[in-house]
Amino acid sequence: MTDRSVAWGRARAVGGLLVDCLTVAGVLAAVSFCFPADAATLGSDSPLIRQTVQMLLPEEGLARASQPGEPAGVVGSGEPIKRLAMGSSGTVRMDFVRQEEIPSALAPEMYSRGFFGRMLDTMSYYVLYVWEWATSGISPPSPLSFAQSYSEKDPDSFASLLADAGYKLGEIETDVGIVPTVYFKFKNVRQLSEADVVWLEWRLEKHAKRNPGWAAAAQRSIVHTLLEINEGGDFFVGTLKVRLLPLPAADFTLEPYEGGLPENLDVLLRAIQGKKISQRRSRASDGDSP
Amino acid sequence: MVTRLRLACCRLALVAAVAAGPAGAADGPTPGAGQRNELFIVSSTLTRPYVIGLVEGFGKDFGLPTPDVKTTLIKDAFEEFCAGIGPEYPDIVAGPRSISRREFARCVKNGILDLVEIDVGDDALVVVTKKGDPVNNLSLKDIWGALAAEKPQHGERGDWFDDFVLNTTHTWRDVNPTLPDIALKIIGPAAGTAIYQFVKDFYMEGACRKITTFKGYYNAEDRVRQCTTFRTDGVYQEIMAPIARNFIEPMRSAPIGTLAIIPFAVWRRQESWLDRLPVEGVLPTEASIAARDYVAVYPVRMYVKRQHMQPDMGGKGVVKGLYQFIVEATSEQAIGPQGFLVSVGLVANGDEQREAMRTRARRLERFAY
Repeated sequence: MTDRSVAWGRARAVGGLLVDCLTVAGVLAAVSFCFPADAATLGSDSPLIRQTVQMLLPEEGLARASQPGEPAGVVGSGEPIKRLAMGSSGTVRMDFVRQEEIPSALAPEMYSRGFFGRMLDTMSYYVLYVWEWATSGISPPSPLSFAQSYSEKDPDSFASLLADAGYKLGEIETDVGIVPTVYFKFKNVRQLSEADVVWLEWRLEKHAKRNPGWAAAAQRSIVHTLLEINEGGDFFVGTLKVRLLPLPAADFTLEPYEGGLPENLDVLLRAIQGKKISQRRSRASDGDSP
Repeated sequence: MVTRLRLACCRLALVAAVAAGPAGAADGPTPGAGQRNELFIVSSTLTRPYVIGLVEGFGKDFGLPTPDVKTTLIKDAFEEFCAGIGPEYPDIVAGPRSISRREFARCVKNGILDLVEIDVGDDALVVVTKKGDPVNNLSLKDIWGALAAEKPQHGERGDWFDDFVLNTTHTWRDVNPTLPDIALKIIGPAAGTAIYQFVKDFYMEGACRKITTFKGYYNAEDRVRQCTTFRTDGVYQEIMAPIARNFIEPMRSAPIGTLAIIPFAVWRRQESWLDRLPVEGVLPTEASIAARDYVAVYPVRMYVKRQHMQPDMGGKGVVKGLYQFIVEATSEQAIGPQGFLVSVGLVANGDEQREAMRTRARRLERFAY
């Protein structure tokens, strides 16, 4: 295949997606006109209500967003309107509470666009909505979504297995670009006793019976590797880095059990030791004095 | 002259060896150098009843010499097993847990390269009380709160830096306000017994995994020491081995509300007058133990040195009968739901798992981590 034909194929794919979005938007706009809904079912803060009211009630002004349970508000003279006739399309029952004057700077601009202008606004809203919905399925997961879904409470989750292995999520690293990368760093926060190791092996056996898939097997192999290194004798895994994008991988950072302290901790240790020595000296000199 | 003397000595030696041969063979076939007559099995105290059951069945079915069974703590058992290959080392080790990675590494270092792992079934430690006494659903934290020497000063509200104070609870209500106002009293294994270590591992450390204050301890040694120190004010009454016999009299004469921690197999022999208690909402039954839902379940596992088998089985011919013992240990008569080990107290594995063990035994599949 030539480069030109590949590029043309891609352009056709993108164009096809755009046409689909427009089609869906047009159908949704048509539905909203032909089948008016009750305000209670739409929700008081629905953009559909605001757009619909703007199109159908230009002389009443903007619908205000309100709290759940409160009626959708139409600003106006302050008197409630219980019933509204929409003409040939049917009847929409809405409860309105007029609370304040229409912002005059905005209202005339909204009303001056006419019926087809307002129809175009609605369609553009739905096009954007559908586009975001379509692209969110193929875009990389956000670190925030992972952080929010990270839970140690589910006993079958990877987070729970790592927590029992003595590792907690320390940070999430992400690069945004043509090829995005997402890393999750787990730090060793707890040494395991012999009973902890036996219990974790037990949990891994149960996990294998309940979760036979390849993803779960990969998670268990990471935990097994952690146990193998940590129980090996001279080294332990200080940091575990799990990469989701572009390709799943796990990096193990080994640290010696008998290694020296990092500089900041070494300074702290020497300060504590120095304090102990000076306290001992002052106690000794108090004992010498009469 | 010298040459004739040497020839004469060689002829005398040859005649002596031939004469000794038939005389030595009169008592029956003797093991050659590097061989043993009977199997040598080292077992933990907890798994001894099952090993003895298998040994008796083995003797009946195969007519081979009765295996020699040595009982010791599981750590010592694995240490002795992994010491090397040869007639002076055990052929089989049986214990209530898997071989650890360190022990396996030691085995490999000492030339034991081909182990076969057999999972015979499961057993459990259960908390029991006399029939008629109040039965409550205890949590691991409740049991730990009754047994520990020290507890966090602020209890459930304690954080990582909470201090530890002496445990002065005297009733179950002091431990947990939802429990009855009955004096605390627990009968259990004495320090140094195999079951004592399991009480510490399952109940004490199991509870400490859920207590916030212990999450601040990085070092395992410090955490275990703080978590598993028993109180010494009389709430916990220690019973020496054998638990199955020695706990009966103290339990019968104990006041209302006294609990005991014993193996499930021991409870089954005394179930006419003892009730099991659910722990963490799970009652210890055959089903919950086989599914490993109950908190204090341990497997009964054996490891066999293939290198001790006969040459036709890929071994060095150290002892006869090793393959037959494995076949016996995985037979339906031994480990099936109606098997003789179940009558001793073992909880049988599922059908698939038992069949997998038989396949493993038949093929002598090598164990690896």
